[in-house]
Amino acid sequence: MNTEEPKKEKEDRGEIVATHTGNIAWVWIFPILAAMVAGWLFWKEWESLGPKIEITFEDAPGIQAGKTQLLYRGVKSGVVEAVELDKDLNHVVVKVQLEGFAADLASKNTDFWIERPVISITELNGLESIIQGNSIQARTQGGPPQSQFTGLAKPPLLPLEKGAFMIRLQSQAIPLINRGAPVYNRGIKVGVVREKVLGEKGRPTLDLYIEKEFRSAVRTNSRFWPIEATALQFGQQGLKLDIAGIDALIQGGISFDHYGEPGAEAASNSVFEFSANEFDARTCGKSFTVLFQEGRGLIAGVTKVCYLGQPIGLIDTVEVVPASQCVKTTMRLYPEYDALVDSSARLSLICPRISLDGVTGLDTLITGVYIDMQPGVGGQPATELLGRTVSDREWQAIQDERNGMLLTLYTKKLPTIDKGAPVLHRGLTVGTVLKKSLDAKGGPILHVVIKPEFRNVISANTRFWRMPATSIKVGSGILQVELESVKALVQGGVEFDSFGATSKSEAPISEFQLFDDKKTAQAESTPIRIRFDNGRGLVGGRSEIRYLGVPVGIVEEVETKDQHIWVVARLNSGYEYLRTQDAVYSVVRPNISLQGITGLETLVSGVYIECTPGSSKKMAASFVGKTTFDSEEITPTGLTVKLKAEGSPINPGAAIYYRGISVGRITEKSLSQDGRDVVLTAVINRKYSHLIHENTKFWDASGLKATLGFLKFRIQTGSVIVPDGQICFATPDNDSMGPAARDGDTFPLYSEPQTDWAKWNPSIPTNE
Amino acid sequence: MSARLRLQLARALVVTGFILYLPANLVPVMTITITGAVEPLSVMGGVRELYKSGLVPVAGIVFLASGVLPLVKLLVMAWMLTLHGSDRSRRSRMAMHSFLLKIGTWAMIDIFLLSILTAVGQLGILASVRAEPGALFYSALLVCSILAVDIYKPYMIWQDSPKKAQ
Repeated sequence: MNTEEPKKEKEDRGEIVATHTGNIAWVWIFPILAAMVAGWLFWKEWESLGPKIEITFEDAPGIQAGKTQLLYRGVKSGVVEAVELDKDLNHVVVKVQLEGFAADLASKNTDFWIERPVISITELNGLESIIQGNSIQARTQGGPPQSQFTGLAKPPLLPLEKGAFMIRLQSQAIPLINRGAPVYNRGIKVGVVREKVLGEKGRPTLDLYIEKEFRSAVRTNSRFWPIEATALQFGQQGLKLDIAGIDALIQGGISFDHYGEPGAEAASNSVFEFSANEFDARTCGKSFTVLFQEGRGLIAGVTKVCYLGQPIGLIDTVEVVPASQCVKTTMRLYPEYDALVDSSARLSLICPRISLDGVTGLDTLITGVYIDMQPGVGGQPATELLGRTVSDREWQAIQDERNGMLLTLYTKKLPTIDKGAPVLHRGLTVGTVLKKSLDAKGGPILHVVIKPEFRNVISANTRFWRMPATSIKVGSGILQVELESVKALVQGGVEFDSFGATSKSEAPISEFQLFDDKKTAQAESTPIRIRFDNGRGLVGGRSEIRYLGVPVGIVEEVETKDQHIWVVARLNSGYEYLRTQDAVYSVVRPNISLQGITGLETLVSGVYIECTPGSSKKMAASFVGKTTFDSEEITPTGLTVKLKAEGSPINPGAAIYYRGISVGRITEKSLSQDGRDVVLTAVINRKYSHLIHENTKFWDASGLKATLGFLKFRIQTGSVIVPDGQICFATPDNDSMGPAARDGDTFPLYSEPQTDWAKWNPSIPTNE
Repeated sequence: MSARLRLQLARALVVTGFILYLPANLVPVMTITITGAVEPLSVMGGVRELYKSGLVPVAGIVFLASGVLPLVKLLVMAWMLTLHGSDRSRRSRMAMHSFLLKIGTWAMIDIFLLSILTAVGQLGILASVRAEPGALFYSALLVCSILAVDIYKPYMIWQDSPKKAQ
């Protein structure tokens, strides 16, 4: 065994015996499992892959292949596979592997852009890109599949949605309005500025996005204007600083509104004009052309059209037309005023003017020139009008000429009265002188126009005269210097009045005589002729005719004829009764005598002719004048009686008193025929002539009389300041007064009254 | 466990390893989120990343240690298993086997590091590291290769094929 066994052992080289002959193929489950899992993983990976797209960008900063993601609504929708340059190195081609779920992004209307951080005053955007790095963003509106895209240079502002309401604004120049600037309608933000681009023809174009719920606010006649972020205005209201708001301050903004009837709702993508400012936007009426001879100060888009002082329009364009030597402007009004534009409308350029007339259009110094529009009546619709360049005053004159009353004034000579000189009526300027010309006979005529509101002041009796530039009036106790305005000094003026004669003017009279001055004008037409022996001091056109000290006429001419002075004078209207046949005209001159000084006022006012009307009913045209010293001596022709005294200190001019009332005057002092007595001629006012009766007693009451009697000292005094003395009279009681005195009766003049005279108390009724 | 089973199991595991090799290297093993930027990293991606950022030696080490080494192990195992039963180069096979056993100890270092990184790298919003399915594939690959080496015992190198023995 032992030997066997080692032998056996020696021989036994071992034998591998498959003890477990069972199926061991199960081990292959591992590779199969692994293959399945891996395969599923890869299949899933492959399945989730969407299409590949290529996006072309101008530049692609921060875009990394295999890393940069494509985000759509913030969701990773793809990964950049490669970033390449195109052949001519002008563009970056970014190849993006889209996710399977985002396969629809590869459609035609998808926009891609690179989101990068933007930090500026107006924008803080893409902050996450600072952390995450730039990414590619997408937005889509759907559409047919596409794999080549051109990326947007800038991020769009809004997700592009279907049916978004976009409008487009065009303008010559767009002010500082940034993308994202708000769009307001009546203060409510309704959208944003999407894009600011140069449109066709190089006109700047703004794309606006209007939110859907506000799309009805945009009408076909909507007008858009920029909101001035900051407006500094210097005008009549002073300095005004407007700051619209911080966002508008930085971004600017757009506002819009429609004027007049709202139009139809605007369609999407419609194009609108972008006005320069709100006023510009407001003036959206019909455009019309106005030609000006001169366009100083006219600024397109700034110069306003005013109607009754209120701005209603704006000048659109100003263009010089060398061919016709004029300035052609187009303007528009508020639509509601379109009807005013017709051929009868007048447009005048108002600019500041400083002249002797005064300063006009001063407001335009601050506000700039404007165009005054005056709508006419009954014009034809027109699109081309003729503008005027006139001053306010001229414009006023033109208006007056149109509406006012045109008068022609004839005169012999025409000293300085200029065109534009005022026509005054009682100090009011009621019209102006339009022009000077010559009539058919070569006489100067003056065309004046009276403002319509003063039309009824003119009547047939109206008299016109030249207004003196300066007049110096010197009267008793008065030294009056009247300086009319400097304007009148230069231009002269015309004044008129009807002098109380209110006559109803029937048909409007348009032709008048222009008198040299007021006095002449006031004087009635038919002259009277007065003969004087001495014409010293009488000046034609200056010397007055007075009645009771009041001027009632004027001396027109003084001429010498037959060794006499003939004075041609006119009486003012209303004083025709002074022309009675027995009226007395006498020249009043200053007289300085021992008896006193009379007519002193004539030293300064010049001599005048005092008129005393007579009682005759007959009118005369020719008179014989007298020369007296004092106007008051020529008392109205009353009862003339003669007073006889042995001697009297009474002088002509002495007053006659009855019970202290002056009723007459001594006019003459002479010797009686026989030379024994002094005869005083007394004239008793007609009014009081009935007081004189046959037994009336006259006495000398002048001076200071002292009576020294028994235990009695009596001083009678009249007025010491009456140098000529005074005379009193008393009439006995009714039973003994006798018949009424007649002209020429002679009475004795006592030196003092008897005591019983003072007791007389007659009751004498007047003659009338 | 019979030698036959061991052999078959080792073969199966090597095949499994080969299958897993591709996803293990291509599927991201982890995602690093640094300040919001999500970055999935596969092994090969990591190598490429390192290479691109200029760390060529590090890239080389990682490439060798994490990418090439498991493949080498699989290839060596495949070679050994192919030569199973033959009497060719048995010595070098032995040497290889012991070498594989030795480096097998370090095979899981990648996964170990990943697990530590995942655990430590939770810095909230700033950064976070998350393991991804690739790590599973990768560790499965490593487990396969380790097991294959372990199951295929050194004595089996010296076994003749049954046909030859007969």
